[in-house]
Amino acid sequence: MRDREVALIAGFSDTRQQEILPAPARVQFSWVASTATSTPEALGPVRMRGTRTGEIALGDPLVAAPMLIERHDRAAFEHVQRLAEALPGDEEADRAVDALFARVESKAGARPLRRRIP
Amino acid sequence: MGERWPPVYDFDQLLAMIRDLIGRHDIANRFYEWRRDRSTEAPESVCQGDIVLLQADVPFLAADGLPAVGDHPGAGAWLVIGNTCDFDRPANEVRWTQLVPITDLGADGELSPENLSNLRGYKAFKRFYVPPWSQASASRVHAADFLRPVTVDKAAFEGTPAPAPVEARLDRAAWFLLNACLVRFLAGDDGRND
Repeated sequence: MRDREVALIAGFSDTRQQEILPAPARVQFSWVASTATSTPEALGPVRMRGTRTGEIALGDPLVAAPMLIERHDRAAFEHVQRLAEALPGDEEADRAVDALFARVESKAGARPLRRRIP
Repeated sequence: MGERWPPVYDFDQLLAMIRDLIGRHDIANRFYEWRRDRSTEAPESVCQGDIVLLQADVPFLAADGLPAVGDHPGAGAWLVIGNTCDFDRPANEVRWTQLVPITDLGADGELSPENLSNLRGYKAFKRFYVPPWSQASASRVHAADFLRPVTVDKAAFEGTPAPAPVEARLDRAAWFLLNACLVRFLAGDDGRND
């Protein structure tokens, strides 16, 4: 018994008589899954529900392809990450431009639009 | 029907296009595919990135929570940041879009070289440098302020003459740059690589 298992696992081919095992049955599966997005922390995760479907052999671990919405989410997130890396902002430059805008805005007038109705 | 630029699927190509535009000394000449002052025809629709002229103050909620308005900081010029596809939807489904005011920061010579470099290099997160789009805006420095979005009824862009006519439309590379800056402003990375 032990020899047969080793031979099967290692793919050995020998002349000894071996038990021929039937191919495991394949089944289709479908279930409603819940997952969370991988958005940046500041945006917070978004929980999603979707259907996972696939086909596996009996006894195999149940690993399904990602839902369509998960693939979109992952692609969008990678796009944001890559854009942020490729077009880096500069904190110092941002503060300098903030100060420039503050100077301009300090000269602009502002007034209430209307009073709150009691 | 709004005309949306097709996506660039090759990310390196997208970056090359953006960097090439930012690095140009004659950026204003490559920034717009259409300018009112250089054309006899007007676009039939509105797209994200269009510069529109609307003589209106800038509404906001004041510290006391009441509605208020501030003087427009740039002679009524606004940048459309609402999605192009929303202009294709009927008003009874999608009535609104968003604008941000374009601020006139002064004449070229009035800004420090550092600030000119910051703006023209698109290094600041919250503002978007807008090169001159008309004779009137030439030799002035302008930037759209992402911090001050305003909701506007899409009907403001309809009619002849429209209350908010389109003054200039971004070229493809300039729209990708705007898209990248909006993405960076709204959904920057979460700091995991700091």
